Amino acid sequence: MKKILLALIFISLIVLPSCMVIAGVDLSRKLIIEAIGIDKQDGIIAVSLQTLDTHSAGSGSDASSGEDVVKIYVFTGKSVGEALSQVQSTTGLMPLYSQARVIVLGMELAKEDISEPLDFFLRENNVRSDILIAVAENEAYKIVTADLGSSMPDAVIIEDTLNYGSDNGFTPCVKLYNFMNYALSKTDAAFCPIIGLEKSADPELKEPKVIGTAFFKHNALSFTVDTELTRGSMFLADEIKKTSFTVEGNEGVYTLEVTSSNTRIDTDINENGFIFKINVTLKCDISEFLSGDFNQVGEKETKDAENAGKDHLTKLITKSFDKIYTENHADICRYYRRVLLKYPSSANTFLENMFISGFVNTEINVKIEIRRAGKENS
Amino acid sequence: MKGKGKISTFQFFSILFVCRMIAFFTFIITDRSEFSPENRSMLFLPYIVLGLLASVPALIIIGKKENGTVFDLTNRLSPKVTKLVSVIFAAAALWSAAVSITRFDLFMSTVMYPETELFAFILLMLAAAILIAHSGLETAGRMSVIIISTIGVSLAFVVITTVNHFKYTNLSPPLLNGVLPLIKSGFSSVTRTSELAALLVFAPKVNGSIKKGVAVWLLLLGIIISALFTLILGVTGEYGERQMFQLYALTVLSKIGVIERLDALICAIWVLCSLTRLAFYLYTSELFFEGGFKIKSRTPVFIAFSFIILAAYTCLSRSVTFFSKVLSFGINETVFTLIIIILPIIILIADRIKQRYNKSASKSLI
Amino acid sequence: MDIYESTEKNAEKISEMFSNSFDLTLREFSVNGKKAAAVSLDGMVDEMKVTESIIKPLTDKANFNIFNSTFEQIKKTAFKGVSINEENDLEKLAQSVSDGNLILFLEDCDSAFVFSVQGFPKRGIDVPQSEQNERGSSESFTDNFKDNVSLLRRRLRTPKLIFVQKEIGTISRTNVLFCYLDDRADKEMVKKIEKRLEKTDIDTLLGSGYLAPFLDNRSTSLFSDTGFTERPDMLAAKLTEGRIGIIVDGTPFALIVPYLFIDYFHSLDDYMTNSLYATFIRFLRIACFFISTALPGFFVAICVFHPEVLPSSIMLDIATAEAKTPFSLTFEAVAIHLIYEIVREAGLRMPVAIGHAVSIVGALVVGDAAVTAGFIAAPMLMVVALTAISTAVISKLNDSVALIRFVLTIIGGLTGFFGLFVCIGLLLADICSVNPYGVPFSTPFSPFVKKSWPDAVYKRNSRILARNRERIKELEF
Repeated sequence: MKKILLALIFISLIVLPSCMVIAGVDLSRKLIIEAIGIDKQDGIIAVSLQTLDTHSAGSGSDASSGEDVVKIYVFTGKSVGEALSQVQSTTGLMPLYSQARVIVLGMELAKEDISEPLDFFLRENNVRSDILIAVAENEAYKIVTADLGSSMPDAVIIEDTLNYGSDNGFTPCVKLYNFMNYALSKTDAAFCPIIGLEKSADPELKEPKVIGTAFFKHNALSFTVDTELTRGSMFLADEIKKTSFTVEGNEGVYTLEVTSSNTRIDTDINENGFIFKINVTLKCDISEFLSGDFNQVGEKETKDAENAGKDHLTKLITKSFDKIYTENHADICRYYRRVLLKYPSSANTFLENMFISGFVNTEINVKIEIRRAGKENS
Repeated sequence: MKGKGKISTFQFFSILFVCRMIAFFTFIITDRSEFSPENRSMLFLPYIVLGLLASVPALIIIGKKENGTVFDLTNRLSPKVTKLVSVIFAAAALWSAAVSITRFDLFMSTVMYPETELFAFILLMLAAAILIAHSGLETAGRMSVIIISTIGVSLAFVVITTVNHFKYTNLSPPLLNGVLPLIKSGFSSVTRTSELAALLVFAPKVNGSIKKGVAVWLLLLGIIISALFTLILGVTGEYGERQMFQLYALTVLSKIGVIERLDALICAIWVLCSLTRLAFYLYTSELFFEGGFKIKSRTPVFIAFSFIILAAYTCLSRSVTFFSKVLSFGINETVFTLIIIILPIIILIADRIKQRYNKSASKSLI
Repeated sequence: MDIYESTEKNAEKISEMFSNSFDLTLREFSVNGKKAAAVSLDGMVDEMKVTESIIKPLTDKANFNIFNSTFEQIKKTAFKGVSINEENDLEKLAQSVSDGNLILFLEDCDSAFVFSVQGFPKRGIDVPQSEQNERGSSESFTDNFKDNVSLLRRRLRTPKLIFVQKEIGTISRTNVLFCYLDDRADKEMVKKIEKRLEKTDIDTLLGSGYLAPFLDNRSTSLFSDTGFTERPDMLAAKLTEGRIGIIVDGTPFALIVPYLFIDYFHSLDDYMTNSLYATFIRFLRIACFFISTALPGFFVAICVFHPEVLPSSIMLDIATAEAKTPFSLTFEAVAIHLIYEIVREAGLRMPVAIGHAVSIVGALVVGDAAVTAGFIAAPMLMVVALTAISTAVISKLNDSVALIRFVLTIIGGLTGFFGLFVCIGLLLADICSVNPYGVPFSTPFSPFVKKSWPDAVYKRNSRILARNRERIKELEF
């Protein structure tokens, strides 16, 4: 009996899959997609794909060299699905989305509706849920197809730019699942970086650059902020890992290097309504101090730097808060959810008056601690 | 040999643990109100309590002398009752197996092999399950211990690599809508623990204390399921809520160094769990059947039961919508309540009445 | 059949039984005036011993009358230093001649003398060929079972070391010894093995490998639960754990029962090196098992079904290399493994003189030319090379591993991880379902035996291990 069963298993393993289901395709017959750009014009969706061409690439270490490998395709259709359905008939290769690093949405499309183009990627299990999302300054096509002139595939440079921007406080690094997490929520506002191109030293080549942040409400781009306010909003949303900023104090000009940052938001309730206490705590080093002397700093200067930094950041965060919350009614810090978690019974009251009186009692406190300053002067 | 054909409590509950975990891994939230986010972090409380309560009739039955199976009592009642009970329990075990394999098919055809007809794979899995069931309980027990360590490592990897994305703002306040929904979710979760029925027939094959085993097993399951639910919610938030398979949504996010996606590998480990579950249910249904009918050889029964499972799977796996609709009628809950609560209680009561009747009859004879 | 009184007739009958075989030697001489005949097989007896210890005493001691003495007197006075027996059955006497004994017929005697003077050519003690050790002994078992006994006795100088002799094979009548330490081995297990040996129904037993299937507990299992070793120190170590060794005459490989899955990953060097390093090497060996069985299957499954597991750069390299080859990845994997197995088999069977030629052809044709010509992609070749090297690490499992590897590669290529893990599940079931002599084959992993882990799975310091050495009977379920 056991032998019959074993034979049955072996036969079903070999014969049945090959007769009934042939799902496997060799790697060389797949189109490795690295970046996806989606634009919409006159109701037509244009999907630009930055792909790796395995057939024209060199072998071994040469294979990774971006110059030879990257190939661009543009497909159009009424929807993303329809556009991408042409991939196989055009290229003869099966699209492989798992390696895609970034989805760039065209500005026009982002202003209109993002739910339709992103729905395809939410359903497609092959797409990484931590793929980066960005909005193009103009057309996504230009970002995805730009020749960045590096030895690496261009998508890697875009990904690195976004990651670097996130690490250094220039842009939030937004992944698909996080973006959707905010976008799907009834109260939160989703946000993602805006990416543009600027000319490099070589006139024929361009460099990607983060130029601000786009905020979404009801699945459409609502407003944008520049890099300065982006940093303020990142402090608000506790997204900063490290950054540096320059402030002018009484004793000179300081460049402060943030080594760690923590934003704690406390919610409280009193007879006047809800109180939000935004406490930003930073640990900084003085990386540069323009005082006419070399590598000298004293207690007085350290205090001065702390105060100057505190003033600067308080202003920046307040400005960002005003722009995002007061002016545009976008809840990027999930205040509603915080209230819901702490005061579940009062959450509905808060929701009703969220952008009318909800954020009136907001206190922003910045605490800076200078750790490494330089040689102490006597 | 100290106990040929017997397995230790640890091995037995390892099988049950593996069986329950795969049900959780491939769990589809069909009714969101029942498993609303605010109930998940506290789910372990009603799960453990209700699970323990549900296991009481079975524990009483197996605690009653002789072999320690449900058939000790039914045999005293009448051979016809034994046959009826044996058919009901075997059918329930086969139903659970069919539901489980359908769930697994939907999972695989959604995340690992999209656009693929998996009938051949399921056939292959059934054949493999027959082989494992044919090898006996010891094999399944030993396999489960190894599989547990494998899924333990894979889950630990997922947890460690995703826990830094945990945001408490993704969570919902517990007991937001009162205690009743929480109890409902707990009950719903317990009904997915149909392995409790196995206690009714496996007691003689287990060395050690079953009562203690049930308590530890339910405690661990409750805590692990609750903790994973909370982690999923905390990391994926609303995004996870839109995913059919929630744990998979979390698994996709786990990465380490250059290995950026291990979800396929982790899900492949779940194949082992599913295989064990299928083999165990085949074995259980056969044992139930054996309780009421004389069987010369087990393997033909395994094969016959496999065909029944295959037929049920073919009907159920037509689409996710159809499957969800079938389950929404509360079949699982009904089957669970019937075989784990109602039927054992009826048998216990009938046994009691018969015993009293026999006593009074013998007294009157004296 | 009883012997005749006539020496000539006896000699004639024996010759008939051996069909006048050319190597049957008959020496006729007279003792005390009566005829005597010595029969033996040429090359099977020690000629010097025959002349010095048998012929000379018989002819020199003219005053000693062998015909008037009892067997005991003859044994004590005439042939000192030679083992003698008395036998009167001609068939048994013929058998004794086959065993390498010399038989002596005396005129008018109703029985013959059987002299144990075996002296056939044999190989000396050599260095172990298949179980190389860095710091262990350099002696291996030989083909002669008596030498093997002495090799073992030298290592375990205790009267508790018991050897039981059996004769297996209706034609070959091979001497088989099973040995164990009386105070360590489980008596029930000893009985079971003895029974198995007694029941072994085989006509020729030409090596210990013939015996292994009779001792295995499941014929359909991919893994044998009978181990083999050519190292006397290894066998001695296993005997101290309460296991039973079986030495077969004519084979330098002793069998060990019961043999567990984890034993395949053990080496005696583990006990002679730093325990941390030994632990590392043990885990490396276990990893090598997974690499050698599953790596090609996983590689093919990943490339065909689950490429998302790969980082982009590696994926690109593989895809680029594969794009230049005409075959599918699965076919390529199976073909290279087949070639590898051919080269391996050639390496084993070919005469040593042409070894270099085969190596060069193998390395050049498979390694270089095939890649250059674009028949095979370099990443695949690398996978196969790693697999082959890993197999060498666990050479005792080579047979099983080769089969599993082929199956997993085909299944991986056809069904991806799903089929691969169903097969792994079956493999696991296979390992978990065997209970050699009451000890689960999968011990100490499952059933989990904590006490056994410091020695069996990882290697704890020998000083601690010496105090709590686990015995096999403690692992019984």
